[in-house]
Amino acid sequence: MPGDGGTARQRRLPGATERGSSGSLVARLACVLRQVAGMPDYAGYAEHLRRCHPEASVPSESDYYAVYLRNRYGDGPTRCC
Amino acid sequence: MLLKRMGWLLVALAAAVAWGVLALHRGETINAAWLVLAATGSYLIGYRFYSRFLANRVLVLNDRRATPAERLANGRDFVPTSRWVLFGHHFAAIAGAGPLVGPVLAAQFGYLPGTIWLVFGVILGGAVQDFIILFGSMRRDGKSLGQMAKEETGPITGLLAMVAVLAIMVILLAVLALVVVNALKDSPWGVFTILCTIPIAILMGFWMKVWRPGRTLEASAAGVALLLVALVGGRYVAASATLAPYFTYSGLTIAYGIIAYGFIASVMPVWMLLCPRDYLSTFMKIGTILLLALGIVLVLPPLKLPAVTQFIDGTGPVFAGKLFPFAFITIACGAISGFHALVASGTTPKMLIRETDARLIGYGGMLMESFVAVMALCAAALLDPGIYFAINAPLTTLGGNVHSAAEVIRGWGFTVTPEQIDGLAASVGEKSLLGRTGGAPSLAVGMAHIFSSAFGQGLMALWYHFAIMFEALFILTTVDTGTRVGRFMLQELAGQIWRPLGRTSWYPSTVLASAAVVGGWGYFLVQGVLDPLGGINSLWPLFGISNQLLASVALCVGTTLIIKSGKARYVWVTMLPLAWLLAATLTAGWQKVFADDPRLGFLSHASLVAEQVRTGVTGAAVGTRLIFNDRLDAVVTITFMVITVLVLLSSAREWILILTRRKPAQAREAPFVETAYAG
Repeated sequence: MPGDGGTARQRRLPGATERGSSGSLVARLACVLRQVAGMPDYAGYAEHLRRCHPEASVPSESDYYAVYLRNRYGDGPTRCC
Repeated sequence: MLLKRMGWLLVALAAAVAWGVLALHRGETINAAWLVLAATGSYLIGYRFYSRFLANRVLVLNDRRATPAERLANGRDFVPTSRWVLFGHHFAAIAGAGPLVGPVLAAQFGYLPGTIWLVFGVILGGAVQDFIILFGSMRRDGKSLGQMAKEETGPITGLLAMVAVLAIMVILLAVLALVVVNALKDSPWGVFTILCTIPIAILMGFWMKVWRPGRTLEASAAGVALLLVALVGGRYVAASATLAPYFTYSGLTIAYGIIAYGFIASVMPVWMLLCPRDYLSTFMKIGTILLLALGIVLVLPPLKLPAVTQFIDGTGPVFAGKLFPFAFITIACGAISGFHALVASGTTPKMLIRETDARLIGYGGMLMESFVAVMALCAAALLDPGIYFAINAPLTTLGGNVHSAAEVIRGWGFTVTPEQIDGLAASVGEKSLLGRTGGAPSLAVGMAHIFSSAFGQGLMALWYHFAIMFEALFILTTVDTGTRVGRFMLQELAGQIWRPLGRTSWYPSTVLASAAVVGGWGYFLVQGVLDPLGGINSLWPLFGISNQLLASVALCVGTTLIIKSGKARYVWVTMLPLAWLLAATLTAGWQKVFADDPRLGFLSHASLVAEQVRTGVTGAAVGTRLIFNDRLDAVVTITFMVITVLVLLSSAREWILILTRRKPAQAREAPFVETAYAG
């Protein structure tokens, strides 16, 4: 699905400021830690859906978590020796 | 411009001087600073010049080209992630127990061979492999190594790669579990702390899923805090005459415990145990590695291990075999690791924002892992050589008590007294450190030494158990995630024979496949615990060989990608490390199977045991088991070698077809889409 990430040309590079964490230093640090550990980011996902698929309904947090776990531990090694 | 050039010249000079000091130094001790300086200087030069050459000339990274994270963004796995965050994420995924244990074992050759292989191996081999596979996967919407092998070389190669990965997983889990067993046997403190991680993880699981959904960081912080409480509590358990016996177990009991744990963790819901443990071990790992780096820089300990020991002749007590080829398979992770190809073609390629980020994350991330391995080597090399061998030689070699051990070690030319060995064990809160082969305990002693010198004297025992807990925690996390991954792979393979077996949601299939995977590594683990030569002697080389052969498969795929993208003139960037790796690994495999020395060769060991059974030295039942295991190990080694040679041949056929223009050079990359991000 090319272009699924959004339609506006010349968007800003996504980064720590885009993912629902434009708050305090603590919030930004928490966001970095979550991404490093590969933790689920429900707020970020909900925001993605609202931005790119306004017509889609946002799944509940527990549904989102179930899909996240399947993705993360479903196939292929995610950790090394 | 001139200033910049002068700067790089200075870095190169500093590294060269440090290497010179390392090579020419002939004294009692040498400061770890030289080792750290030689390594970091070389990494910087390698990153700045060689990885730039790879990025610009060989792979031709293009920031105008949209990455899968941008094109396929779905807010879940395809998530554009800023590069330093992704660097941390990728590093946490690739760095495991391998880079910590391998260099410690290889320290029996002295610190120099390991350092040279770690630094040059990573710059010319390991980092190149990670970078190219990450690049290839990024250009193919995040496809896995197996899928790339299948699409670019053919279905048989893909299937072989899959079987190889499953077999490697079994050996890897067995040997890592053996490292934990040797660290925890007869250690109530260690066992208590590690047992506590299970209820802590379950508590975190309920916290994140049921009580306060989504509060993953909060739960992890609580988990880390509880873990530290358990660590301190372990001291009181070990000191208590009533509690200590409940947590004191033999190696065999612990092995069966880990096997039971691995099975339960694999069939339980992931949110309850596996996922929270994964978070816990990730944070502990990153925190401890940063602490270790800080400690080494603050303390800059003198290294007491000789640059090169007499054991390069193959008579080493930790594992048998000469410097070539065994240094190059004992140190796999840290120099080059085939396993990384699986991670580099997993989650990371789906998160890159720009193509050029692949250089920092693929090449740079692997340099960072190599640095971790260098630090582990420093931690082992700062021990008195006598102490190092007392901890790492098998108990049967050392004669079972501190007096005989001191005698044996003196015979090797290193001075150590029984009081020193006992004193060290007492200072770290253990009854005995003798014969704890596997690298974890000697690394923990070294780390405890660094930490207590840097952050607080007198806490040696606490730091030792902190280090043991940190190693055991993430090794056991590898065991449960690895068992699960192995189970999925087995189900996929079995599903091709009988379809219902391939359904991962069908509970009987799940239980059956989990039991098969756990049974596989559990068998090797138990045999390793019972092995009179110490287990590590046969299992670690087997793991090293399998991991390096997987790296050879990855380099074959990398070579195919380079040739297919029309860059055949640069094919040496993967061919040179491939040639070296095949030479070392196939030689090692051959020697492990056919060498005449019974400590080294599986088959000659089997004949020796047969002889012992005939003369009555060994009982018939034990003898039959040992002979069967030797033959099994030989078959596994030969299987790895055959698979690799087959992958090499099928890849070579493809290369020749393309180079002689009988087949078009066409890589199956996803089509070019221009990025929408502002440059």
